[in-house]
Amino acid sequence: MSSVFEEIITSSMGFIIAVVILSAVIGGGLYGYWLYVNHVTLENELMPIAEVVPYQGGYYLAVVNTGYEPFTVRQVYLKGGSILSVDSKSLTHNQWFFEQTNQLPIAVRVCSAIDPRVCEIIPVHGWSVVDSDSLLGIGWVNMTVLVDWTCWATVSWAAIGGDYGTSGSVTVSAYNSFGAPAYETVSVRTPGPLLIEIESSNSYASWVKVTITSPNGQTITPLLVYCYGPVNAYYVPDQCLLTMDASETVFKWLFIAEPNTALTIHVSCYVHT
Amino acid sequence: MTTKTRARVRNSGVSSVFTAVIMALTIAAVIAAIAISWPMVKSSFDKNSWAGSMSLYKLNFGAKDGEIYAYAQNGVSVVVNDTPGTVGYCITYNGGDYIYYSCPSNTPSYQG
Repeated sequence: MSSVFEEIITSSMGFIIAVVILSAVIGGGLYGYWLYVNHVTLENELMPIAEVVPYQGGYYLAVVNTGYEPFTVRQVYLKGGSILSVDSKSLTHNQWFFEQTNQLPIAVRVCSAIDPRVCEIIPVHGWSVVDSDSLLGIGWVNMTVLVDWTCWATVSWAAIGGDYGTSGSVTVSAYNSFGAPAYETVSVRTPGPLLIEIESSNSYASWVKVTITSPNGQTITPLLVYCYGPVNAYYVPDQCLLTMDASETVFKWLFIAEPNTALTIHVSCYVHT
Repeated sequence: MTTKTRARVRNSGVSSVFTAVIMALTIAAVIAAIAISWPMVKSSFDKNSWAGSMSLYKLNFGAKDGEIYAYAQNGVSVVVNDTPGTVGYCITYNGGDYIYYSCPSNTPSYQG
C-alpha cells in the first residue's frame, strides 16, 4: 500500500470520504425504502369491492371504489381461464363499474390511478338468493274438499286486505254418486289471509255438518255461520239441522285461513231413514 | 513529543469524531425510517379495519305494499327492480321467484 493512499484514508480527508460514503449509502437506502413505503401505502389505500350476480343467462359484474384512492379496472379473470381486458375510467369514491360476462368472473385486477404500477388482484364476491314469496308473505293454502253422498258444497275464496285479485271457487257434488263421497283438492297462492266461504246443502236430508281439520292440529272457528232450512233450521257447533225432516238445508260457513296452511274440509251428510 | 505519539493522538481524535458522526447518522436514519414508515403503518391499520367492516356488510330485505325493498347498512333503502341496481355497497335485482344479491360479506364466487 502506498504511503499516499494510507495518508488519505487515515487523514481528515479519509474521514470526510468515509462520512460521505456512509451518508450516500444511508440516503440511498432510505430513498429505496421511501419508494417501497409509497408503493405499499398506495396498495393499502386501494379499497375495491367486486361482486357478481347471475343475470340473463350470463353474469353481471360490479366493481365499486369504497376508498378514496382512485383506480381503474384493468382485467377480469373468468372461471374458464380466460382474461377479459377492460379499460374503465378512473373510479373515485363510491363510483361503480359494471360489466356483463358470459363466464363467471372470479377475480379482478385494479390499478391505482395515481401510480399505474400499483395494482391489486381482488376476488369477486358471489351471490345469495331470497325467496320473493316469503318476503311478500305469499304462501299456499291447500284445501281438500271431501263431500259425502247426497250433499254438495261450493268453496269460494278471496284474499283479504290487498288488491291482488286472488279469488276463485270450486264446487264438489256427491248428489248422484251412489253412496261414494266426492272430493277435490285446490291449491291457492295468496299474498295474505284468505276468506273462505263454504256453502253446502243436503238434497235428501235435513242435516249437514262441516268439519275442518288442519294437519298441524289448529282448530278453525267460523267467523259467521248461516244455517237455513224451509222449516226452523238451527245451528249447533259445526252442524246445521232442521227440527223437521226436510231436505234443502243450506249451511254457510265463513272462516279465515292464513297462508301456508293445509286444510281438509269435510262436509258430512246424514241420511235419515 | 515523538512523531509516533503525535500520530496516535491525532488518530484517536479522528475516531472520536468518527464515532459521533456515525451515531448522529444512525439516529437520523432511524428517525427518518420511522417517519417514512408511518403512512404505511397507518394505511395497513386502515386496510385491516376496512376488511373487517366489509366482511360484515350485508343486505336486509322487506316488503311493503307488494313491493320488495332492500336495506343497506348505511340506511339506504331501494325498491328491488328486475334489473341489477346498487344499494350501499351491494347489488341486487328481482329475478321473479328469487331476489339475487351480492354484498362484500358474500363468499368469493370461485368457491361457489
